[in-house]
Amino acid sequence: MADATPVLAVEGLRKSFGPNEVLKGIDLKVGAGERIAILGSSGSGKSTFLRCINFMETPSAGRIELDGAPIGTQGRDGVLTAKSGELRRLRTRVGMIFQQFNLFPHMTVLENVMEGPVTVKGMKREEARAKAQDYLKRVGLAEKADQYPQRLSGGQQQRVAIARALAMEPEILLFDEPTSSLDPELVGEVLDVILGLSQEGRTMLLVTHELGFAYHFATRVLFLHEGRIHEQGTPDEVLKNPREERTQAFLRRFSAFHF
Amino acid sequence: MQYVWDFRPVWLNFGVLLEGLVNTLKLSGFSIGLGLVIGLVLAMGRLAPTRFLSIPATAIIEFYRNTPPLVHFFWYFYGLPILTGISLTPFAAAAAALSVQSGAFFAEVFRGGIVSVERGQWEAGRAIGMGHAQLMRRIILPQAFRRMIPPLMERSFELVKTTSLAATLTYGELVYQAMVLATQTYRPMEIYSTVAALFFTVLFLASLGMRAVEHRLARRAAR
Repeated sequence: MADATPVLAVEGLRKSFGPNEVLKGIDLKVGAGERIAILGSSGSGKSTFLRCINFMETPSAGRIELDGAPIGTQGRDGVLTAKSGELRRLRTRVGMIFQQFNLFPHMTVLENVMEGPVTVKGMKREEARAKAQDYLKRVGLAEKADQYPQRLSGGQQQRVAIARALAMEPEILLFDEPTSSLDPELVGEVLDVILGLSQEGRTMLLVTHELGFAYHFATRVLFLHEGRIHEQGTPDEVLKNPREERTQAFLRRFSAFHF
Repeated sequence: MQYVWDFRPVWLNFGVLLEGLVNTLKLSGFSIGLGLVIGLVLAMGRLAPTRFLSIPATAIIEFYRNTPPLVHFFWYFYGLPILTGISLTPFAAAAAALSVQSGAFFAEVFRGGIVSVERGQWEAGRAIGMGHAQLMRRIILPQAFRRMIPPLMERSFELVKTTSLAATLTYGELVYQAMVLATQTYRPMEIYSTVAALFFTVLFLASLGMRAVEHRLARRAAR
């Protein structure tokens, strides 16, 4: 990954909400096709970090580059500002999947998936429809195309949300705790879809509490603590042989009930 | 003392009152239509990401919400010719005053509906690259609209009743016609009671109709 320009480069990223500094300087270079799992206890800043990458939260300081090109311009106070056109381009290249799915309830499943290509990319409806049907097939929901989201289970809704993000054909996918609001029996189907995507060589960043999944999914694991990357490495290094005491304590809490 | 009710003058001149009712509905319909457009523009302005739009829009909304409608009527009818030389017909002055004034109230209804749409919907739209206008048009307004219908109705009924202030500009709406008739027939009790009955009938029927529409929308939403 060190050979080429990283797909995504983050330097000195900071984010404060009022007096509360949530991210205290994060540096990260992500190579094409890397799959990064981000772990950490609540309040460690892992979701905020993910949300800063596509400017859902505006970074308070630092630098974010996509393919070597910086996003936004830095003001005198260090705060990054991005114009709306730039934000649109950024977000068509960096897709996001939310914890709460956030499907559009007034549109059918198919319309949800078509919405970005048609409205944002100006794609013709027939072409967008065909693509949307493809993506729905990929997440195993082709037969639900004409349903409204309320009729679907949480797991199905999240799979539609993944199809909606894929339809924009982004270079990077961000998953913000994609299974945290699902009933346990529905987690598997969503993780299967995500694992399927990882076979395609997509660049993905995933915030999760599913350690077992992170182990199989990731090429690299980050452990965030108090707004900094506390430890990182391969899944084996971080999850099986963590060096840092904080990481060990975090993992111990998760394995307390192994049987 | 016993008052002897006599509705004969009312029946004999019912055409005068009906003409007033038609004018009331004309003024109401026009002002609601224009008021909704003004309200949407003001709400969009107030919610716009730039202060150049949000501050003036907020100022207009707050000003009109917190001053009496009768004063607006007088401004448009008596004030405008003095200040600008443009004089409006009673209908135009009343329609302008009512549209802008109720536009300010409609704007708050729109804004309430818009901000009530969950944060996740805004984020999901932005996450696929939508700009502010696309987000409003495709995601937020369609969802907000259903929630806005009951308060918009409420506000429109209020507007229909406020049209009676146009009588002060000699516009021949229902209350003005009643005033004319009352001075001719000396039967104000009967005439104004009839006016009340007419307003009640129109608004009550409208609210029944609206409830049916709401019911259907609710059923559709539960698909």
